[in-house]
Amino acid sequence: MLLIPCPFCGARDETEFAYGGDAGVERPTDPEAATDEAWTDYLCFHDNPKGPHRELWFHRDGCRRWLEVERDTWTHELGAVRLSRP
Amino acid sequence: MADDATEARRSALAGLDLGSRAGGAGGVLLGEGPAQESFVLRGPAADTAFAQAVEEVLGAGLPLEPGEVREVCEDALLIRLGPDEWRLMAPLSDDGRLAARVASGLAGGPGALVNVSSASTIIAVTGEHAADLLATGTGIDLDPAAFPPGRAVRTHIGNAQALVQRRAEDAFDLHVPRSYARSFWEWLEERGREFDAAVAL
Repeated sequence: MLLIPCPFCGARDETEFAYGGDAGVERPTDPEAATDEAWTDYLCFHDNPKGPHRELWFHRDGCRRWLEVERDTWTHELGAVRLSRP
Repeated sequence: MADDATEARRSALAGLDLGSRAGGAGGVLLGEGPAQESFVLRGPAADTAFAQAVEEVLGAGLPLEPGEVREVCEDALLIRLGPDEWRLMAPLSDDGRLAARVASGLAGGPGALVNVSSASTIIAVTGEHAADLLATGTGIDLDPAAFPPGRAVRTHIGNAQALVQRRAEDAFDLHVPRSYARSFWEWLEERGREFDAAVAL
């Protein structure tokens, strides 16, 4: 069980959160102009690193805010945590 | 024609016929809390116009610490739940008057007030082993040093999301989603066997 240090609520169990995936994915800024390749890349091809990863977690049962969490996918070690949109 | 007010306030636990099972003493007492009016207040904490508008109507400033519960006018409570979210609880007898004043105070500004009175059921858990019972189903620290009386937290307990309001060291009000109320009650009774749980009058 991860103990995620929510910047608002304090340390809470992982079961209070919903995982939101890679925090670094960027939606094409101009959808009309985006190529099929750019859309496919945005929707389907994400990095799957073994090691440090910046990811989104939603604190569903707490402050109901999206957090950006640094987590090592190999050791589960947590780094900096901040509100995604303060 | 049916009495609309009565129908609107039918308890989610009505089917359990708690009244006929009430009585007895135990390490934990379970009961349904008094129905209250409940509102979600959203707005930017750092916005002075928003904070002032709330303070003008409620007679008290916004509580700013996570989980802080502040008594405001008309026997109402304001609870801080998130960076831009508070819960306003008012007695049923207030009949929406306070909320209407808050809403008109917020008009034109960045805040919003939404009535969620029917969304949750309040279950009171009291007694010597109240915290022990809740601890079997939640990860939050229920030690009074970490979670003192007069504070509140939103978390997960058993099978439901719950807003936990600690009234005293051995008294909790749990605001659970209405559709979870019955199964959550059954979960409490199941876990409560260990502590000789009884139904409160």
